[in-house]
Parts: sequence; C-alpha cells; structure tokens
Amino acid sequence: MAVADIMESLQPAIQRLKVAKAEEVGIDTLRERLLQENASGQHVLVGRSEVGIWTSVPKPAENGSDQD
Amino acid sequence: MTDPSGESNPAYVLGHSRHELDRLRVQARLLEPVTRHFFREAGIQPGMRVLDVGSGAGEVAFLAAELVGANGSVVGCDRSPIAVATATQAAEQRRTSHVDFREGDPAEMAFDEPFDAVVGRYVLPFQPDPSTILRGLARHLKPGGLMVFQEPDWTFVRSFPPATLNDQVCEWLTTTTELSGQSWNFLEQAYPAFVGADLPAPTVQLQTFVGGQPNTESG
Ligand SMILES: C[S@@+](CC[C@H](N)C(=O)[O-])C[C@H]1O[C@@H](n2cnc3c(N)ncnc32)[C@H](O)[C@@H]1O
Repeated sequence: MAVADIMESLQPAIQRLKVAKAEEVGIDTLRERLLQENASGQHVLVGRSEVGIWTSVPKPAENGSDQD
Repeated sequence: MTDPSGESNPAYVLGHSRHELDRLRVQARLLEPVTRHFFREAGIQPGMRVLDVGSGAGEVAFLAAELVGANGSVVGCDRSPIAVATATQAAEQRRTSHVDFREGDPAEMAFDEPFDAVVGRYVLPFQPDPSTILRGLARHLKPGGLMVFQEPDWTFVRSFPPATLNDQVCEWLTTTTELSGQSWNFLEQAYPAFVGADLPAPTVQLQTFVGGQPNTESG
C-alpha cells in the first residue's frame, strides 16, 4: 500500500504539524487495516494523479534557410 | 538548519531515512510506466544529454539513461549527500556508465556542456518558488531543449463506495503536505510555474491510478 508507506515517511511531520495523534494513526497496524478494508474488493479507489508538464525552449529564429 | 536525515534548510518534509529511500524505489516501479510515457511524449530520444533534477535514489536518471541509450548521457543532481551516495552505488551495481550523480542544486550549479533536456520527478512542489528553479534550470538547456517534469496531484483522490480508513489517511497526507508548505496538489501550479519562468506554454497531461484490490499499489 503506497499510502501506508508514505504515512510512515511523513509520520514525524504529521505529529509536528498536529494533523493527527500517533494513537489515531496507529502506524504499526495501519498497513494491515488498510489491506483489510479493501480485502472485499468492493471499493474503487481513485488514487493520486500524475501531472506531466513539458515544453521546449525556443530555437533562434531560423532566418535564411527558407530562401532556396 | 540541518536535521538528522542530512537535509539542509528548508526542511524537506519526507526526509532521507532508509525507509524513505526504499519507499522511493518501490514507488519508482509504480511510476515508471507513467514517467516513460511522459518522457516519450515530450520527446526524450536516443543520443540526448539529460539533466535529472532531484535525482533521489536515481530511478528517473536510470530510466532516462535507458531512453537516451549508450550514445547519450545523464547527470543526476540532488542536494542530499545521502541520496547522491545511494544513487551512485545503484549505478555501480547496474554497471551503468553513462549516468553520473552530483551533489547540489542544479539551478545554481555550473556544467561544462549544455543539455538537450532537463527532467525531474516529484521535485517542484518542494521548492519555495517553482518558477525560480525552472528559470535557473533553463539556463542549462541548448536552444530547442526540453524541460520535462512529473509531479503529483491528490485533488481527485476518492473512493466508491467510501473506504473510510483510506479516505482518512489520504486526508491526513494532503493536510500535512499543505501545512508543510510543500503541497502535493501540483496541477493548479503547473502551468503558472512554467509560464512564470518565461518558458513557452507547456503541455500538461494527467494520469490517475485507479485500483481496489489489496495487492495493487494504487492510492
Ligand atoms: C521526492 S524525491 C524524488 C526523487 C526522484 N526524482 C524520484 O522520482 O524517484 C525529491 C528529491 O529531490 C531533492 N531535491 C529537492 N529540491 C532540490 C533542489 N533544489 N536541488 C537538488 N535536489 C533537490 C531532494 O533532496 C529529494 O532527494
């Protein structure tokens, strides 16, 4: 479970910013509980999205090449 | 300000613990097909010289190295010495010779030669001002060079019927990243970040993971 892993890395920030208490999160059993919740396969989970962003910087004006 | 994870100011919300570096590797397997798709669409090609910003455990650099082939090259940069050491070790294990990792913020570094492309994944939300770093990075591009990023957005996260714990956890995560000033909802910032750096209007595409089985990594 990706979210369980992220929770583990974010745990210090979650406590520091007082978003949730350690008891509420229960990090030691969180992964198991998330797996249990979805074990039925009844839930459709729309996860995070990936945003692709790209562009190319301009080339110098191609003068003269269209003269012939 | 340096915290025990070796990260310097400003505090990087995820840190560089062994768990986090391992997590980045697992996440990379999930993200790889999406990154590959974006890179191909953007025009990453064999023979290119690529700069990977915020290279972490090195996964994006290795993918880029595969796409540019032996005639291309990749330089990965990360300001965390732990990340650079981990990525360098991984490159040795893979016997990849055309990838090189350096410590520092590439927006402020100097390079011997310009690049055909600058790429980055999960980097811009952690910058105080994304346009500022993009401007610094654009200096390293050849004329016609590509600027390609992949960033997360959690705005559309939901479940049908509601999976209460999953939804609660996602809310904790988004609230934490918002409060830390490193929001993971990058969609609304994507276009302004590029245009604000005087880059040409970017192409912006979304891909969303949808799952439900316990053994999928979605969510
Ligand atoms: C979430 S990780 C992503 C790693 C990798 N790009 C991937 O997708 O697997 C972000 C990394 O970017 C690095 N980073 C963030 N801002 C940076 C900057 N301005 N210059 C160099 N490295 C930076 C952090 O140290 C961290 O290792």
